[in-house]
Amino acid sequence: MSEKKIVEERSLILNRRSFLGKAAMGVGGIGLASLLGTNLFRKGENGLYTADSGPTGVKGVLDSLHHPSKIKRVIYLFQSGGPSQLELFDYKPLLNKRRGEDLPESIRNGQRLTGMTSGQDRFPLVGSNFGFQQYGKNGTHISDLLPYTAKIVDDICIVKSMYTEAINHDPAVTFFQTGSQQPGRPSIGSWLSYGLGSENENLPAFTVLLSRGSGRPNGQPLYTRLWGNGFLHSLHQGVQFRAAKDPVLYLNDPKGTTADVKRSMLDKLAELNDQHYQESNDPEIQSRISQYEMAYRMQTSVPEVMNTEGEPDYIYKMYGSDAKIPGTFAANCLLARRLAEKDVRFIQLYHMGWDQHDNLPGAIEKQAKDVDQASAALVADLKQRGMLEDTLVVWGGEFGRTNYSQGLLTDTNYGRDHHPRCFTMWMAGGGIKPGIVYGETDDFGYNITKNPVHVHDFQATMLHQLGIDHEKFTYKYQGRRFRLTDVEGHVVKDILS
Amino acid sequence: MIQLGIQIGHLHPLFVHLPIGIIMLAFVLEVYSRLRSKESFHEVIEFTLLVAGVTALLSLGTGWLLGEESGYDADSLFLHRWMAVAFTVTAILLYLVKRSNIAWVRKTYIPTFLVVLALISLTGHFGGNMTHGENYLFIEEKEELIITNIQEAQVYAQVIQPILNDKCVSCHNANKAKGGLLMSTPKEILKGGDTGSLLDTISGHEQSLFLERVHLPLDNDDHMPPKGKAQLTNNEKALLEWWIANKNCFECKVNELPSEGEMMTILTTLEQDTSAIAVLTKGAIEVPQEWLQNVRAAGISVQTLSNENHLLIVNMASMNSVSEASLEVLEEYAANIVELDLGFSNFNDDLMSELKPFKNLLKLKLQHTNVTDAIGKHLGDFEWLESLNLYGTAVTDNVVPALKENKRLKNIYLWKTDVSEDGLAQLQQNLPNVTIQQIGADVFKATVLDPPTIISERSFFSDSLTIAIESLFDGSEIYYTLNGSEPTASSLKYEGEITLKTTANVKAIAIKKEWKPSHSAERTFIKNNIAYANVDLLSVPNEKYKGQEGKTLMDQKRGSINFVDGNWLGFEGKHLNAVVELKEKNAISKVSIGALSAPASWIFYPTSFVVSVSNNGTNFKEVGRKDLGNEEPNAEVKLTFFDLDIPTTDAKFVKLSIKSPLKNPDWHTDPGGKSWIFIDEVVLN
Repeated sequence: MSEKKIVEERSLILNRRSFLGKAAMGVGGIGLASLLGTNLFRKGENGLYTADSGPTGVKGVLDSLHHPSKIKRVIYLFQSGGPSQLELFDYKPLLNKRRGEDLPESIRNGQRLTGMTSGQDRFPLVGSNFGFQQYGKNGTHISDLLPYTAKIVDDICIVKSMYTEAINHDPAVTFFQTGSQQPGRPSIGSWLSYGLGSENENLPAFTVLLSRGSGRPNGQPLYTRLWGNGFLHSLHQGVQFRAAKDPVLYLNDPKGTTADVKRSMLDKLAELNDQHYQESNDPEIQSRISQYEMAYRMQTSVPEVMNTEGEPDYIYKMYGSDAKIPGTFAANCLLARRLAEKDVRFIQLYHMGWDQHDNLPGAIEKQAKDVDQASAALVADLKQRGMLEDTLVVWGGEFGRTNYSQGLLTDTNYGRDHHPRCFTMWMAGGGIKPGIVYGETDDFGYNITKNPVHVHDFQATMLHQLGIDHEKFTYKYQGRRFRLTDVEGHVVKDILS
Repeated sequence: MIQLGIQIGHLHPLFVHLPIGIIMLAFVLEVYSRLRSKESFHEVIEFTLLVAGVTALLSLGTGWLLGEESGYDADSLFLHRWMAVAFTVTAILLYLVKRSNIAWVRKTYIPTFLVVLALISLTGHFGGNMTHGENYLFIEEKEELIITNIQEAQVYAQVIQPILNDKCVSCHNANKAKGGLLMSTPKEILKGGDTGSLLDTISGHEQSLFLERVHLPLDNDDHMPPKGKAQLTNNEKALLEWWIANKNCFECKVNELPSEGEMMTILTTLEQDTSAIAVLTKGAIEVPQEWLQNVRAAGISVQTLSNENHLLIVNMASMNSVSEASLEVLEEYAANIVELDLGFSNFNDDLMSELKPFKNLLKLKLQHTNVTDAIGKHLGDFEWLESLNLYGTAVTDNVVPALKENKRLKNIYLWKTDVSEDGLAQLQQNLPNVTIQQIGADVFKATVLDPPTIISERSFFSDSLTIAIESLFDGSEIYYTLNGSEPTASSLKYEGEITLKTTANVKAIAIKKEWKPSHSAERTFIKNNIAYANVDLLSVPNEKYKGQEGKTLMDQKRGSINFVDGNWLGFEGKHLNAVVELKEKNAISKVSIGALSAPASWIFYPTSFVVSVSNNGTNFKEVGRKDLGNEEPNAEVKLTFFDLDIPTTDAKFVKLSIKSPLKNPDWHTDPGGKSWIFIDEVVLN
């Protein structure tokens, strides 16, 4: 290929937006910028500060916050599969009293069902097989399955009136993470990376940790697009830290590469990329350079944060002894605290296995054991370190479970199908009222009777605590300004302290 | 007739601005033509003045009719009306003067023009006052009613009247009493307007006239405030309702009226924010961008609280180069800094005195720094301090008295310091409002140790096998048994690798001081010294779970609970028949089969199995059978070996007939559905 042809090809690769942007600013604009000695392209497309990312981290697109923030970071303990609120938090003795009776149509009120129970000719009510006791200053009911959560009940805010629009896992999880049931939007962590940038230049602003539950070991897979960047720049996608020898894939050098060789290779590559940038002004090149650099720095920062050997014995006693086993929820909670200490903005955990359509009692007992102690320990650990003041911890799944049994109801066994109309989540930390229960459901545990909180409300509240007005934080794509909360969402002021 | 007149009168706002503009235009043209000596302008100006006169007449006429409508202050109306008459007359006069050819008349032209301008200004001003209120043009500096304690606030004077002033009084005041209603004082409000009493519930209606008007749909003509004017907010409506529902008391305080739940929330929003952050925000000066950039260039992270808030958060956590110089970088705007994080940095006692300019700190984080009790004498500098983090430092009880003056302190972190229980108690006594953020020692005391791991690559052996047992926790002790019994602290202590010579069911526990002993780990190792030539499957396994076909049963690899691991043979709704061919004739006394049960996945243990032997592979003789029964209701995933002892027999071929339950039991979620059996190994001894 002749050189001329290569240049022609390359100019075609230049994306339309940066081409138009360049054309609009024109040669004059660039000339002016150099004349004034300032960099007009300081804030690159997609909010990437390239020239500007200094020693204090990478700046986000928001120059300053919309209002003072209460928190600096979020740890989201996502319970994937839809934990049953009726076995864990929402105490409904009526369901035990009327066990086996049919769900009255006046309560179901036309609620659509999944394909898994729509064929059932009966919907026998079933109460929890596990007891509830009252804990804390307000005598909050907590299930016997969660003895450790019960101990921190005065530090958490339990929201019993969450509801969603989706009824199946994929759309429901996607809805929680991206604000839309259809795939393709950026997830919460990506939005935050885009808006707030990173306080730590050595680690990504958005990290993801996965664990499999023992309640349903082979159930419900997750997909990487849940921590995808959508239409935002790929720099903002979540980085998955795995429980393996290479916590972050493709980060390590090939065998035989020394640090020096790597460094000089990167320097040369950056030089070439920079030359290309001077010619084309394509912002993608600048962010590519910064991604190479980030990966280089992560070669030391990631092993450092993943190496929990220095954690003392009493920390394992808090999180539970399985925190020593990489890949467990407990181990991930411990890592979450370590990442939070390193100022990672959004730490997303997923614990799979809550999708207990059948054999729920046996499965949820194990599943709850997976998460109870470690979740409570994380809150307690953050608290004694003074980090709970500016960290928001969120615990919850994508929907709840039905108050009637899926499949056969026996004395000891039953299942529960997906239920979007009400479910329970809890939050702890920065600016959230501790020790309260918000929202109520009816005696059947089927409908919300007070203070409903929609998924968008939850997202709006989370952004509010971070100092962001969810209505002002937008990204223009394909001619429309997109928000995490789409066109809805109200900050739940009642739960803010 | 009067009604029609008022209708026409409503056109007054339409006409009223015309004469004003046109007279002004005429004046501008006049000045311009004289400066530039444009004689030709004469006729244009003359015509303009004619139009001005006609529109003035129209305005006057419509205005006169509008004035018949009630609600206007008589004095203001009188002034506006007669001033307008004077203006109109003079304006027409001006036109006539302009047309006049008489020399002395023409000399009065400019003075008359000036009089017209003066009159139009005054008329306009009086009219404006009537429409927009007297204070519209010159806004008086209103005395702000600050509520510091909502409970003690006057309901009417401090809560209700401000709302009325804001949203009602501009049309219901002494100058412009629309509907005959004035709303500036209790007396006026009680008096009501032309339509009647304002606050009493109207007979036959649910509520008072006041609330009825407020709650009418916006498009209704009687809705108040009228469409187009600033509307009452929901909170304001709620406050008005609350006040009227409680007998519209004019002298009550808030705490004398019942106010629960949401009402209290609304009321609280009226309270002036006296929180430290609000007070400091008010007093904060703006920080120049250059200064922020300089700080960042020094490697210090600094952020304003928000777009409109000039207070600063500074993060120097984990820096190992904190020095007098780096703190001096911050000095100029140190009073703006409300949060300073020095955690895990090289900050120490000597640098503490450098923090004196940081007098407005709300949050000071010194965790894991080299500070000691010596910082105590500086803590008094921070009068606003709400949160102090000293976790992981060397402070002792001596720091407690120093904290006495920090009356605003809410949270203190002293975990992993040398402050004793007594010290904490003393601190709590000195500062009853402070929360000492610490986790009770007993919260996590019952944590169970993780079971040890029994390590061996193989589960089968022919002669002997060496296994190891490890615990993840340093300093824990391991106890074990080899016969399947539950180990205790008096069982065999694990000191090093164990060599097995016979089939063993190994169980082990880990024990560590301050932990609850672990549950037991279990693994079975099987001795098997009979060599197989081949396993011939007489039943075809399911396509998805066919492993290495027959070889799967003789590969000496155990399957795991993850049944897709390729080490299992799965059969859906059918029994398993297989023939094991031995390399050479052997004496057989025991047959074991490895099976899996996972009811949640439709997998159950076999119900029975039958063993037959043969020397030629065609004539088999049954030598034993074992009935395993049906499973009790459960949902566990588990695997085991089922053993069958048979009279010692010589054989070259062993035939196994493993019976499946075929159908899910009644207690299953899908009773009667096709069930599975999963088999991974056949062991002969």
